[in-house]
Order: sequence, then structure tokens, then C-alpha cells
Amino acid sequence: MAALVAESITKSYTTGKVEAHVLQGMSLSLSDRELTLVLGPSGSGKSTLLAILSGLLKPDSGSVSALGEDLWKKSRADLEKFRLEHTGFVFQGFNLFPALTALEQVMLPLDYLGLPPHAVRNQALASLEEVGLASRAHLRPIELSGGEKQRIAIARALAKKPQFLFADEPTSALDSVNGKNVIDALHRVARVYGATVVCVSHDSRLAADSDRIITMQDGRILSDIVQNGAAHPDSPPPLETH
Amino acid sequence: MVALARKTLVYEWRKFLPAALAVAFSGLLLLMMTALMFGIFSSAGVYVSRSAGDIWAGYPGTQTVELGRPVPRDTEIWLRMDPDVVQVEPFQWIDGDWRGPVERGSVSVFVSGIDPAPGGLMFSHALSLEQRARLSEPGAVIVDEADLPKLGLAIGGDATLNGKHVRIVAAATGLRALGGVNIVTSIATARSLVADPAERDNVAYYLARLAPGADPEVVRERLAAIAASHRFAVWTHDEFAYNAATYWMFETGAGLGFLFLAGVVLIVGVVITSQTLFAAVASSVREYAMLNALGAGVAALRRVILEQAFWVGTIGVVIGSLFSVSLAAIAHGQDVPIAFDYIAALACAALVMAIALISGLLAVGAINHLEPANLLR
Repeated sequence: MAALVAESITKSYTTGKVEAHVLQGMSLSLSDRELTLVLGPSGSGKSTLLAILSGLLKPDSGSVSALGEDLWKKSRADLEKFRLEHTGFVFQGFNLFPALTALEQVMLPLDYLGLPPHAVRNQALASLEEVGLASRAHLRPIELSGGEKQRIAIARALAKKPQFLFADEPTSALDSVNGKNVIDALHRVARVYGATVVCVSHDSRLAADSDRIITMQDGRILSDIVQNGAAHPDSPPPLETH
Repeated sequence: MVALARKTLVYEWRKFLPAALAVAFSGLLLLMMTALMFGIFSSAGVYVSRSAGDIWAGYPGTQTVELGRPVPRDTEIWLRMDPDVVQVEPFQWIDGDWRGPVERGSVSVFVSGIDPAPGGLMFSHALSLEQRARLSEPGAVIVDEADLPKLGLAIGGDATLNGKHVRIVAAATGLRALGGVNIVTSIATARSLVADPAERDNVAYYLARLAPGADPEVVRERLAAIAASHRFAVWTHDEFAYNAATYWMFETGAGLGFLFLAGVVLIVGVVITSQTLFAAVASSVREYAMLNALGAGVAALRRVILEQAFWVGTIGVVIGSLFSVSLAAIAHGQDVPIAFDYIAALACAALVMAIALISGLLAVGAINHLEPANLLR
């Protein structure tokens, strides 16, 4: 089922006198229970696409519909509320608070949901369990390895059991073993929780563990393949490459 | 609730310490300025604060002792008629022209003519019984130790005061007045210093002591009703001392100068504190952006920063108080005129908390334009 639908989204940035068209009328629909990998070189517009789909960046035109709601017709406060209730993020930089233990990092966003304290703690512990770091719950970021930090960030993102999980280059700072662990964790989120997981990367090694692979170039979709080898019904006709 | 504000403050204390120190030193500066000002201006009330009387009677509208004018002689009778008054004594206050050693020229002085009897009220806290007794000799005067160099004389030195010969028989402490040298003498000697015989018996003030347990406020009100129609006025001891201090503070412009300086301290405190706090907050801006991406509202994040500002203020007040207490101890040892007042200390603490909270509001600017989309690259 299409949980997230983008229609004709465009975005351009102006730097000085130069206007760069990052996304040029892109349409896309993403299903729940799937890990979709968006691949592409730097500057292909994949991170901008992720920002727009996740409700962090307003497109110049076009619409994004999540769970049947038009994201970009919401006020900033309503959008924050939507993200709070439905959306998890994993970024390349782990963005963990240096002062907090792993458990507190995961508890923090749950606090803002207004859950009772024991539920916050239990959910956070379960989430750390899920990423295999329950034994590291009392440690601060400085005492954790890069791979562990990223798994804490994933635990933080999935503790509230979001319908959407967006990951931006989650493995770029990690070695291949830790990278594999992270992508496995993301995949489980899609399978176990039925979430719509979108992962942006330029690391094609992740392709093997994804359900669907969208390749971008110059603000357009170059190819769109579901993992059984067939082209996705949304997929554009193959572009001629020069 | 995860105590993000406090945990960050404790863990990253090095980042927040400069802000807390800025608050502490602003507070220290404010408190020391206040203490110095109170210290200096409390000497304006030295005539009152060093004396024992409960009620002062003087010319209506007199703001401070130095501005005294003669009061009618029957004032003493009115005071004595009050049932709670057990002792009344005159206090003569005249201007004098002091000529000591030739090279010093003449010095303008204030002459206080007091009752030298052992139970005398005037300057009872400044003079010993032995010193009072010595004032009974004709021409004997006592000055503050600190004024001896100004007069160019030591104890036992001779001088001419309003053309009459006088001798310094002792030096005391706590007689230092604001704006001139205070010469204490017996009322008999003081009278001899007045040139015009018609004015010799004029007295500027009467002091009254009340029976133990009597309420000075009640007596003052009772006497005020009589005083209005007999050309004198009455004040309680505390009221007259307070009037003197505030008169000098504002009449001399020192009070305004102090308020101006306090304003400068406040601005400097806010600028430095907000800058350091801003830097501390800005260093965590990616984490705040992450929280915002996950749905924590900007308002909730602002509260975290304001809470940090509150704690920075509290820690600043504690550090400032410790510094103030140590500095006050040093100052007292060096005879620096400082006086602490707990209301002034509380006001200073409130002002530095205001510095911290205003700085917090300014530091919130660090996350005002939070763009979680910038976390994606």
C-alpha cells in the first residue's frame, strides 16, 4: 500500500546568480513494509528528496501526502506534531547529546510524546534491545564506537514505533561490518513494524539488502527496481544516456 | 523526563562556566558598589548612629544634621512633658574656623557641643567615659583619629577655633563626618565659640531618651502634634539617620551616579553572559535540530535553554556570594568603608538573575532559525 506519495515536486536553490534545479518535477510513491534505497552520486538531489518527503524541507511546487495527509499544507507546529507522532530519522552525523547516556538519548524524544515515565523507559530499553545495545544503555557517546552510536541513533528513531523512518547516509561513517548491521536493523524496522523506510546513500553495497532501489541523477529518477528484478510500475521509461 | 538542561550543564560545565563567572562578577561588582556607597554615606548619619537618643527634635524640615538651625528654647520643656521621655539633652551644632600650625592655613570644621556627663546621649557609642570626662576642661576638643593629619596636629596639640584657644585632648574612632572635620567639644566650650552673645544659648537639636519599653514611633507621633505649632519637628533615631544618608546620596548626585553605574554593569553583564551562553547553545545546535526533526517543538527547546540560563544564574549568584564574603572580610581588615544591607544584597542577587535570564532569552536566538533539513547533506 502506498503510504507516502510525492507528486511533481520541484526544488531549486539559488547561490549568488546561479540557480540550481535540484529536483525537476519528481513523482514517486512508497509502500509500507519496504526498505527503499535511494542511490545516486553527490548532487543528484537524493538528500533534498529525503528532506521534502520527510517534512523537513518545503518543495517549491508539488505535494507530499503521508498517511493521506498533505504534509506541506500543515503549519510548522502541525508538521512538528506529525513528525513527532509518525516519523523517525537517522542522520549521517549521529547527533547524540554528549551529556546523555544511550538510554537517555532514546528516552528523550519519547518524553516529548507525553508518555508516562515507566512507558518511556520500557520502550527505550526495548528499542535498545532491538539494536542489540541493551548492555550499553548506561554509556555516554564518548564511550561508544561509531557503529554503536549509529545503532543508538536508530534505536532513538524507532523507539516511538514510527510509520516512517528516514535515513540519510547512515553507513557512510562506518566500516562494512557495522554498515551491514545498520542496514539489517533498518530492514527489520520495515519488516517487523511495517514502517515505510527510506534510506539515502551512495553506497551501492546496501542494494543487496533493500526491497526497492531508486537510482537518481541530476534531479531525476534514472531507474526504479524492485528487488525481484522487475521494474517498479512507477518507473520511468529508460533514459537514453550519452 | 530526561533532564537535558541540567545534565548538559553538568557534563559540559567548561562551556557554561564563563557565563556563570560573568554573572558572578556582575553580581560582585553590583554588591561591592552598593556596599561602598552605603559605607560612605552611612558616615553622613554618624551624628545620629553614634548617639543613644531615641528621639531627635530640630528645626522643621531639617534633612540632615549639618543643616540644623536653632530651635525655640521651650522645645526642651515640651519634650520633658511627654510621659515616656526620661532624659533630654541639648546638642549644639555650629560651623567653625580651625587654625592649627601656620603651614596648614585654616580648615572649615563642624563643631559638636555635647553634654560631657557620663550618662550623656550624644556620641555615647563613640566616646569612652574617660574621654567624655576630659571634655569638661574648658577648650578641650576630641577629633577622629583619621582627621588628625588633616588638622596637622597630634593629641595634645593646640589650635585656634573661632578665635579661641582649644587643645586636642583625645582622638576617637567613628566620628568621621561627610564633607568636613567633626570637632567634638562640651556644650560649654561650644557656647564660648559663638561670637554673638545673643546667639550663644541657641541650640540646634535636643535628644531625648525614652523609658524602657516605650515605642519611639508612638512618642514621635504624640510629640509631632505639639511640635507643629511650636516651630520644631521630631524624628525617631532611625528615621533621622536614614534621612541623612538618603539626603547625601541624592543631593550630591552620588545616588544617580550609582544607578548609572549599576545600569552599565547590567548591560556589560548581559552582553558577556549572553555571548558565552549563545556560544554554549550554538555548539549543540545539531542535536537541537535533531530533536526538532524528531518532532520536539522549538518552544520546548527554548525552555531547555532558559532552564540552563536559570541554573547559570543560580551558580553565578553562589560564586558571586562566596567572592563577596571573602572580599568583604579583606575590606573590613583594611578599614574600607563598606556596609552590607541584606535587602541590597537580595536586590543585587535579583538583578544578576535578571542578567542570566535576559541572556538566556538572547541565547535562544541560537536556535530561532533551526533548520533540521540542514542535517541532511
